[in-house]
Amino acid sequence: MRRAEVSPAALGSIALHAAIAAALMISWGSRDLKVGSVVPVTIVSNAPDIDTRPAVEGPQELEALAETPVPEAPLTPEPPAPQPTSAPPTPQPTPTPPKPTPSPKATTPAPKPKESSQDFFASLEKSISSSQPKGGRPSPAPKGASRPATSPTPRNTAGTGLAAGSALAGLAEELQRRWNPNCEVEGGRDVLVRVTFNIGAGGQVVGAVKSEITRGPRDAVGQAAAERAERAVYAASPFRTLPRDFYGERVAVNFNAREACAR
Amino acid sequence: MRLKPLMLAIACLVMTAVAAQPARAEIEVNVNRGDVQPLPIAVPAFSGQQGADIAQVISANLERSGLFRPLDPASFIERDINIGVQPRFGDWKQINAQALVNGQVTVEGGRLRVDFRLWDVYAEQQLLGLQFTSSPENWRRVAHKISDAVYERLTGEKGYFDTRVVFVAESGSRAKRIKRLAIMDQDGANPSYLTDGSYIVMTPRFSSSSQEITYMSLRPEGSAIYLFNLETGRRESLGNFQGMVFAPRFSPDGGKVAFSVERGGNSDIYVMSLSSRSSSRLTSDPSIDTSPSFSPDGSRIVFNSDRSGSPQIYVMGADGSAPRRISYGSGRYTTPVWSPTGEFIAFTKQEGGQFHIGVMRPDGSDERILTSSYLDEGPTWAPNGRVLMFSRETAGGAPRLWSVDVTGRVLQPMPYPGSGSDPAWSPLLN
Repeated sequence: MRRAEVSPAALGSIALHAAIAAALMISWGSRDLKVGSVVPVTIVSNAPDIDTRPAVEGPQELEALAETPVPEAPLTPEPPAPQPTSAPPTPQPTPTPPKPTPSPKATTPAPKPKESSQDFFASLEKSISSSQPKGGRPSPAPKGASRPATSPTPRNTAGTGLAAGSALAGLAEELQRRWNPNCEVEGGRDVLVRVTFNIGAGGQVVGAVKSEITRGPRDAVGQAAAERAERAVYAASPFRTLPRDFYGERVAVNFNAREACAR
Repeated sequence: MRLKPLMLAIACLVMTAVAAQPARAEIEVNVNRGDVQPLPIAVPAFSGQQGADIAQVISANLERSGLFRPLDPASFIERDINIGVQPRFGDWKQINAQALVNGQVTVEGGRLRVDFRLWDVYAEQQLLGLQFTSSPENWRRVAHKISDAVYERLTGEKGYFDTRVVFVAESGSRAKRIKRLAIMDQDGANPSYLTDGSYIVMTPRFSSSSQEITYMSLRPEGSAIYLFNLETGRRESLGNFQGMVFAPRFSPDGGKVAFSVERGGNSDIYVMSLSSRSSSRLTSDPSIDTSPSFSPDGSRIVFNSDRSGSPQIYVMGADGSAPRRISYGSGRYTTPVWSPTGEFIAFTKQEGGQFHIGVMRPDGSDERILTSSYLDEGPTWAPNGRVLMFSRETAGGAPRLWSVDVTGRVLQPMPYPGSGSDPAWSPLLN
């Protein structure tokens, strides 16, 4: 029986693979937004020329336009255009392959899932306590039903009682001041969007903001409505009025366009 | 061989760390109020030749829709914005821009190339990036196409800016008024005449499937309905009819034209196949039946009839079957037009010495009066079914073109400075 022999080349290969694997396990931290990175154009389309001149019966007809005031801009180039002084048509800055599209999330406050150990244990404690109702007092509220008015319905443990209710009412108010629902568009006023996000240690939104259309059209109108709800969350961040108890929590906001547009 | 247990141990540690994350309950918040207002948007001048003009047209289009509020360029903090780099979102947040449109114009080989991007300022991400090429003199059309792209991306609804309007341009004194068929961009730019004013033209209507219009002309020898292809300039008559023909309108597929024929004080609705030129009569009531307009699917026709004693709106099958009255409000209802989306019928209403433009559902419900004046009439729909154009005349004045959205909130005169009536909106250009 032959002994298995390991050649130097095989050893080198294993060492190389191990080094690569180790390198992959190293966390390099979140990458900063590369201001100046190239953003690729995603679609190319053409605006075909349409010549309406054959439709004009004769050149004298165009002269007759002088009877009425001549329309607007085309004949008089607008002087107050805020053209930058250094306005040479910038050549397309595509020295690098058109790949480095900055991730949309790269610009948001660096997602920091790792909170301080104190926060971690505090939230763990809260999580445990939430699964064990104190004093055996069941909530008298029926589960699932939401209130008709703008109202926080806290269902976790980040604070209880009046203080928590007040804090969440403040959160709802912050959001409603920044939410611009799409009331003028058919379908946009019927949408119910649920947006979920995490609140970080500074009261800011961390990580991905996710939206889901829970009622109404799931088409382009629904997508636009969902983005408007997400925009309200981003705009309201950081939630400075929110007590520290809520830092590290996951929040779900139901944006009800039907209610908002009916007012 | 000893690596395997080591890797397994590392993998286990990783899995344990992931599993050890505490499961969190969610705090649930309901938001039932909002700050409903036109979306603040920044449209800085595009870089390059005519970049400022293009931005200005986009800005004006969006503002006129009533759904956007372009911000004053003087408030912009970031200048010299380069399309190749991400904007400084903080600067745009500071002036409360929720969206940003920036772009660049280049001319290469005699062709105009316009690149633009639409940014969500608060989510800090690109929503759209497009490039258009065209001939340099066609820059306005490129601006309209960009406006449509921005409008659709931010509202979810199709735009209507890359469209044209055909209308009756009126000039001269009231006693010797000259009426010419004219066409312009939807923003009033590039107006040109299509007829010379030697005879009266009325009720031009666009085909929803081609760059073709139909209209009625009144000549000494009588009235006639014409087809006019805007791309070729070809004009043809639909033929001779006994009696006066008027109020033509295309079917949605462009294959038929419905119109009215008046004989001996009684007018009825007919439809003609454009391929065979055969026509059939759809109504035979001893009353005035006129202003036919097809539903978008072509299965029904809304029209105007005084068979109940006063002009009211009726809906029937496209073959003339089962006519049913749908308007029951006070006043006289005329010129019904089915919206391109099918959800509304627009009309002119005369009541209490005033004229109004209004809309109702195809079953007659949900009637809304949108305008009121000395004389508002002749509504036509933008292709997205959200905006109407009509003519408004003041006492002793000449008619002008106005627009209003279906909410009645955004009412404004059209930028076309001349006198005009009887507008007809084109579908989106290709």
